[in-house]
Amino acid sequence: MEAAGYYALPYNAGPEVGEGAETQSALAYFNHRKVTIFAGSNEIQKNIIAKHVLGL
Amino acid sequence: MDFAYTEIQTMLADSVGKFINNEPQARYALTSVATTADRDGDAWVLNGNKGLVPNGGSADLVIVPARTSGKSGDENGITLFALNAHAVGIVQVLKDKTVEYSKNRKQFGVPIGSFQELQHRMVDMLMACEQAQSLLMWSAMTRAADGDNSKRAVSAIKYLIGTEGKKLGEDAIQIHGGMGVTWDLDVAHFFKRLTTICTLFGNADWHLDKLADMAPQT
Repeated sequence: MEAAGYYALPYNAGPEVGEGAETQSALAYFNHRKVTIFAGSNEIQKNIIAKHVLGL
Repeated sequence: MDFAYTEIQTMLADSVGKFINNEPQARYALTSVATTADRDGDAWVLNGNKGLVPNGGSADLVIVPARTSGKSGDENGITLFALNAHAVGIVQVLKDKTVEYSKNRKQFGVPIGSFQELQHRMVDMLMACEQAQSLLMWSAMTRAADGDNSKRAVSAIKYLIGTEGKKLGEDAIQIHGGMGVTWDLDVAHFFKRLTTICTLFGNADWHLDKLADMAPQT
């Protein structure tokens, strides 16, 4: 999104708005908020690593 | 290109939202206008490329800036009028809603706000809000009186919103968990608006660059 600038703003736009992947960058960015949450959030994963890897 | 031009441009782009002067080479530079307008008898002939027009689909009037003289990049007094106050309001709402949610949402039998990891993160959110609000107050105070500091203040807030504000928004969603990415809660909507503001009229990098250019000479 940073590189695409204004071309990142249209939601899920096609080639009529911009070239390449830039017009899909906002969609990807918002969609990927989920990956640090689902299937055990980052915080839970850190708890597990602290306990079972670091032995804390 | 004169002062009135950039004033009109930012005003229209902000309030009406059916006008913007983006050209592919311009990034966020308001005065980077390569499109030309030449006389041809009684008519004007426009030549050039225009980029994205926010909300262009609902426009009943599109204003197309073009040069009748000079060359691209010529400028004479830039006014940047960003959506800073709006952004400061959004980060405060996101912080308040996140703190409230963490007091109610229970996991492992206790409110998630009782976890130190989340407490520290929400304190960081509060600090970002306080900084943003202070800069906004400085911006308001310098706006009428001091041209140079006014421009610095505007860029400083835009940079803070584009860095700390963005992180605050991401943390607000993270702490809300799965609910944070649904349209049922307004957190997701505020975050989208905040992300849009981060790009409009120059992102964080752009304004850090401007701040460096405006640094007082020693």
